[in-house]
Amino acid sequence: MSLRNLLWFWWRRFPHRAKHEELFALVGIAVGVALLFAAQVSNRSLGASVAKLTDGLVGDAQLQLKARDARGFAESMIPAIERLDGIRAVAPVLEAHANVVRDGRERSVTLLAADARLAHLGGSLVRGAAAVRLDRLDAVVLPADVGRTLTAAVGETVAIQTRGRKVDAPVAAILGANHLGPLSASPIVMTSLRFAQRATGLNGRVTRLYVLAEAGQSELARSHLERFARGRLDVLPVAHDERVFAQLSMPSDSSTSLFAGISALVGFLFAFNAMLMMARERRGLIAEMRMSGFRASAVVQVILFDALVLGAGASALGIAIGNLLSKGVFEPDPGYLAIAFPIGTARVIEPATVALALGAGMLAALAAALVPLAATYRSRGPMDAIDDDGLDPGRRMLAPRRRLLLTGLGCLLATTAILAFTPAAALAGMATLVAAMLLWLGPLLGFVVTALHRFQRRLASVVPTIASGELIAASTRSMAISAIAAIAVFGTTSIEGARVDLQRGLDPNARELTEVTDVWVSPRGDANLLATSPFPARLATERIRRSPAVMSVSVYRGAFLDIGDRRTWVIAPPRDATTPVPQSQIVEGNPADATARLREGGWAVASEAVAQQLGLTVGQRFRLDSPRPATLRLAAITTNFGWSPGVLVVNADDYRTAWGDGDASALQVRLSEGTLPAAGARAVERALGPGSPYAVQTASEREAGFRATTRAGLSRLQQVAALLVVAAALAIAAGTAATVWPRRARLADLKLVGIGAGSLWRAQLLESSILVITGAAVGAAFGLYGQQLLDRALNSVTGFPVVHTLGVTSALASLGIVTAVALLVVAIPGWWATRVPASAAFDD
Amino acid sequence: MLDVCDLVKRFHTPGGETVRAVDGVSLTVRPGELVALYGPSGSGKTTLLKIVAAVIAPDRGHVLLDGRAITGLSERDAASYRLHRLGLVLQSAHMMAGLSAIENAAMKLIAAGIARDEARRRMMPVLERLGLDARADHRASSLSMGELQRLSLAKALSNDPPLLLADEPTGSLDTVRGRRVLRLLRERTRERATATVIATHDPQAARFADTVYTLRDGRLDTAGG
Repeated sequence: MSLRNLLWFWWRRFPHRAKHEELFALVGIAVGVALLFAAQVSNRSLGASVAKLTDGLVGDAQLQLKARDARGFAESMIPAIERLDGIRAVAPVLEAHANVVRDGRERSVTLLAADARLAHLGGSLVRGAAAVRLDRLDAVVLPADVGRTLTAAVGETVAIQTRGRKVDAPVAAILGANHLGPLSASPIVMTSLRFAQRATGLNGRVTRLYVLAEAGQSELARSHLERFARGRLDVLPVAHDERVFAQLSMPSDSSTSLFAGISALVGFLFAFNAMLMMARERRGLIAEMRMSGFRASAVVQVILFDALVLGAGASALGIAIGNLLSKGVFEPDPGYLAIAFPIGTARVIEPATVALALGAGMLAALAAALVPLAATYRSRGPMDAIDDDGLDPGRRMLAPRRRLLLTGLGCLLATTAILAFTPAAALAGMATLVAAMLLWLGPLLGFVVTALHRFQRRLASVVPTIASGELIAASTRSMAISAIAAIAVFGTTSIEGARVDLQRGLDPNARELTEVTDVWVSPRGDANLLATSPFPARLATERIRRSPAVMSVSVYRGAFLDIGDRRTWVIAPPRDATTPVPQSQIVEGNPADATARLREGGWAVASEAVAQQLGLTVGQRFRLDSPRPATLRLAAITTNFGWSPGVLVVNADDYRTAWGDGDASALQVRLSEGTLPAAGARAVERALGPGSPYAVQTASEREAGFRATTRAGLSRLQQVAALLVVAAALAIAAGTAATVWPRRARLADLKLVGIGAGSLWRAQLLESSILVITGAAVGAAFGLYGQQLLDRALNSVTGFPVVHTLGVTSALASLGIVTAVALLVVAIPGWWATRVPASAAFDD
Repeated sequence: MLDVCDLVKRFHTPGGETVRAVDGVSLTVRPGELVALYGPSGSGKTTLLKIVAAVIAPDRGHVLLDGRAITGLSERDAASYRLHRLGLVLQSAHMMAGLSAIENAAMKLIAAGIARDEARRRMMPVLERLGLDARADHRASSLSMGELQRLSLAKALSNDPPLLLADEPTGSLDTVRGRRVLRLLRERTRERATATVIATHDPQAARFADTVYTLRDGRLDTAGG
């Protein structure tokens, strides 16, 4: 059939369509697409923010020479590099964590400095800034978002706090989205290389050198650079940061993928239920076409064209709603990722995101359209499938079936085997567990319905009679309602339970990491939560020591070091630290031995992922590619302390040797006997003087900061759990509408008998309650098992510290919430259907 | 006794035209009398039955059952009237597939608050009379079309109503089964002194009636007996 004919056929049938059902399908698919689109935009925006920053800086460059620490390398090396064969142009960059302050307002940023050479690489970022003559700039350029936070205007002065120093800088320009695109919402401050070197005290040093190779000489340039770097600098492709970011954001991506998957499932359930409501009309059309002699291919074309039009319209609506949701509800939240990357909060909508949402909507509509098509062609005669009253004759009885129970048992045993022997495959275990749950749900529901039918005989009310009558004749749609409730409670119980277990594991970790001293002093800025910004500490240490409230001051060192694609958190506690490694976080190796060996020197403690990356077991020797490569031995293996890429703990002296400088990244202050932490912190602040570039925190304040950040990182899991409840309620409402709507003739008949709408509505509610409560109870029981699996998965795959518990309270809460919300929502289509006039029973 | 007095019911078509589905109909049905409303499709038979069953209200006129007005009842009173005073047999029987034949037949009794055992005890003789006793505990979904029609009659008779309405009761049955149902209706009308009204376009049905009214374009044309 030609496209023109298909369009004509569609248009001619338009006035005769079941418009309510079509609208329901349209809205249903649109809701699913909207959730999927919003979740994708939220997640991809963060990654895109990093990619845009790289693109903006590097332009056409292919390689980079990267320092392994914040001090960078000498700029004087650059002329020699420029002379290397195969290199066409280079551009040095200096990056530093900074805090920009104006009139009491502050923002944690990355200070990004370059000179005119960067423009030769063609990066878009510099083209915008070139207007203000980057090279000779003794001022800063702010993106609009930072400018707004500080309420700064061009010509005004802001204070830049970095590396324990503070310098004033005039604002040369504030650039909006028209110059910077999405980077206008990124926490960066741009300036000239000279100015940044003065501000940081890193005179003559840079942290990166972007390299543009001659055409076809990329490999040659790379080998020359590697020889030049002599194992002290990293030679990397320019896209390295994106790979590191992908590794860092893996936990966040996983939860977002789960979120997107659930959204897609919701959309499909909506579409499927809506299509089932339209099945009678569709079957009638198919039967008529077959009776009129249309070939099967023409019938398929007409049905699929209908679905495509519906899918396209619904997807477009969904993308529009999703766009609003991504602005108002699912705003990109950098969370813990901002500690290692200057991530903006601008929404980045990529063509792939739009294509995915559009494709998912179309696919849902197409898949659901195939149901009536398949049913009609399965029937013997063209008209056989039309007389469908909503019941499924082949699957009426919800009776216990041995085969289902045995297969379910097999799946459960497979899950148990995965849990016991291969916890890394725990996500596959989740699939077998869900399969076991769904296989057992039918027989269990059958048992409950049989019990109700026996019990209702003792009651003098028509309500349970009608409810049990409908349940016994339960169709696949009723089973689907129960299954949705089961999946929702299963999901919320397991996800929320695992989240709580993870939080319980992270909280003591935060306490153990922070309670090692009374007061912490570190450079200001939210992004410096892990104290990874180095600073020369001599002056500050002397000032603090003079305070009578202070007993001692120790130097704590920390930094990020890229090990492969893992931006590893390296910690070097002070020499006199009583517990250099949080004892509860050691998962392999003897804690006492590990502590002793760390103190002795030449040993390190690594988290599981880092040990795995380096192929290490306890006791093995390894080379650490630090600024000055060092050889160490592995003393113990720990959790990742809540930093997903991994952790490495080394002795203070080993750090000093391997990093080649004595800079601190925090000062640990012990207070004099009897000084309260809050009073001690105030005394330290006074000692540092007004307007100091340091944040002074008591141990408990720092612990609260850790907790808040980890909670923010886990917020997407909470969103997933909440979405499951909302999605389940909506899907159950849709399923109920699809189930009760075809029953209207029967309801009208019962009204004609003299049974009031109220009784019919109560019967619907009782029926829905039994379906939902049975499903929810089964979901809660399996969800507790799912929680154990997720705990193991989190622990073995990501190395997070997890406390294993049985979240009975969480399971009961999920059961209660899903049941209550579902029944509240289900009441609406039930009430609507029972409004059918009794006169409808007369209609044939 | 059923008194129908000067009933008028108009409908508006989507084209803006007004159709008088029932146009000044008056008739009386005495206890023990079987009346057939005979006429082609669209003549107003079903509309008349709907008004008498209190599922739609007339634009004019009134209906009295044993002297009590049926028109103008509230929804609750109309439901109570249908539960206690009326029996209805329709062409298509919408039974609950998950319940047994006797549970479906006893639905009115259960809705009226009668205990299940008592409802079952009362329904068994009715099912026996209709030849359904052997199928009493079978699910409604397993019954044939003829059995379903008889089950529908059993449900209508379950509360021993003074008024029985049947809309095309033989419409989906073959001649033999249709005749059996009509005979049952006539016997029941006689035995229980029920006022029975059948709307039909089946000439066979008219032969079982005591009085036949012919409806054409909403008007009562003739009466015969």
